Amino acid sequence: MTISRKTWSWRTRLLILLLLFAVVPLLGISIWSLEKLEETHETNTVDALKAIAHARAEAIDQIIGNRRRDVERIVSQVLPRLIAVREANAALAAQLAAPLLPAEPVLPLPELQDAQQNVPLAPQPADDVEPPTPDAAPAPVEPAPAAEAPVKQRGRAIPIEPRLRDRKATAPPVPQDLPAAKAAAEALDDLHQVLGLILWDPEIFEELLVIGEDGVVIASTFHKHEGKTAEGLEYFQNGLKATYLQPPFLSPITERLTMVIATPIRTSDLKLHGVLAARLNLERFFRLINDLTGLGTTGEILVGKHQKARKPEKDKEPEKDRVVFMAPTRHDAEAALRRSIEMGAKHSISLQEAARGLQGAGKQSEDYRGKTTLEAWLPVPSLDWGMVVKIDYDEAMRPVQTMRTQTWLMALALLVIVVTSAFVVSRELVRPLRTLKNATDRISRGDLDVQLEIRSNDEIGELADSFERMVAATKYLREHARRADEDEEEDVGNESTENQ
Amino acid sequence: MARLYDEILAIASNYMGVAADDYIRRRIRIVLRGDEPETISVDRLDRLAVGIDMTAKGYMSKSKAEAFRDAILALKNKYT
Repeated sequence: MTISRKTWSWRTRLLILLLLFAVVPLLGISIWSLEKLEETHETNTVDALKAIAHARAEAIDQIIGNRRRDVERIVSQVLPRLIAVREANAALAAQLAAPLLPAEPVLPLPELQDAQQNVPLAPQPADDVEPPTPDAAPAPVEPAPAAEAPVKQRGRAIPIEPRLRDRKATAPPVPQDLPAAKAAAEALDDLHQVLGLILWDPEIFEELLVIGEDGVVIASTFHKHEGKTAEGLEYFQNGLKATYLQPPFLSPITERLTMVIATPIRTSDLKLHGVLAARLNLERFFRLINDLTGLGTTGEILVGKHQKARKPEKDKEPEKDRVVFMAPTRHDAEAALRRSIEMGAKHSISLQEAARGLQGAGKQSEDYRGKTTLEAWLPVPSLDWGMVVKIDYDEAMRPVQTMRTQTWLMALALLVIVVTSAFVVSRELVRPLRTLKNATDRISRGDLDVQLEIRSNDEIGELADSFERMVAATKYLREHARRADEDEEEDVGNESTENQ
Repeated sequence: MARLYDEILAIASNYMGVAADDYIRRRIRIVLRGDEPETISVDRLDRLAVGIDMTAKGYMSKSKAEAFRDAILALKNKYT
């Protein structure tokens, strides 16, 4: 029993050899290089995001720090004028022998109420209507306004809770021709002028308020706030003790996000005279956040604040802490104060960590849009915010993906070339061998009329020459052997004829 | 002259293999009319080449036979 072992043809062997020693190593190196490129590119992108995040956070901290210092410096200019106003009012009161009462019931500042219609956006240095001075001559009292119906703001009803001071409605009119009254008016005017001069650049502050220690607004660059009370407002209560930065909120006047920095107005003997409150213009601030240079077409910067859950009502499920978006984002222009994510949610992990004061960087599987992203996150201490700088993973890796596609195309082209070359080379190699094999078959069957058409200067050509040499010798020797046999037969025949 | 004969034999070996000695001696004897093949001279090379051209085609391809003939003729230049 013979066991035949299948031998691969030279064509197959050549193909396998070329694939094994040329294509496979090249492909392997290409894949490895691509993997490394992807890692390096990802690292570089994340490093760039970290640099942007640190730069922006530092810039925000610097802006806030500068504003705090600005407000504290303004106190030194306001203090002497405030003291002058109080002294003038005291002198006037002494002359009248009666306390100066407010012209009308003291209303709260419209911080949390609906926007007033047709109200100037920027503080006006001088209005058409002379505002009544709260500490000066009281005007005839109007009935206290009833609780107003809720007013809609962007589709949401915001209830108004007026807290009125129930003061004596009637007060004796103050004669304006009294020297003390004139002095009081001049002192207040002086204070207004100082505030107006400070507010010359509305890009920094939108409004400056001087609030007495009782909470009543003595002077403001927005005159409709004068005479109102800020007693219940958080920034006033905290501003009595130290410089306080109130987190951003939606201004009912400008309908834009704004912040208030409040600082106590004290003399050198630490006697408290009031609070200076400055409402910041956050345009420049948000320009910084919304500057998307270096973030491609999908990159953005998120800022969020950790908001603790309110105490649950009776028999109700406890709520979870949330992270509230503090600025609009590239993909959601309405996000500021409107979008939030639950702490512990499976998406936006980076924003949650940044809001908790942690920092980090890397690939995130799901952002608030459900996209995979590269992100860098860190806290912004001055505002107690978290900041995330991010870009979609697909966009970030696009150069690598392009290179990957090109590499695969080149590999495919190389494969085609290799396979074609294997066929061509094997054909060139195998064809003369097949010709020799066929010629040998014919000779083995007695047909010596074989002619090879192999003309090459390589080993195959030498083999063909040797073969032809062998065939020529064989033909010659066979022919002469036959002749020798014929001659011998003839000789034998002649000899036998002679013998007869 | 023996040297010329050796070179002719060497050329014939490249084309006739093991039969070269017998073949070339037969061809030279025909040219020299029976004299010893080793005594062949340069002036006989033309006739030898004609004989090779006529007979070698029976044993090898036409191009090989022509190359055999040309190789013999090239000895003329070498020995003149």
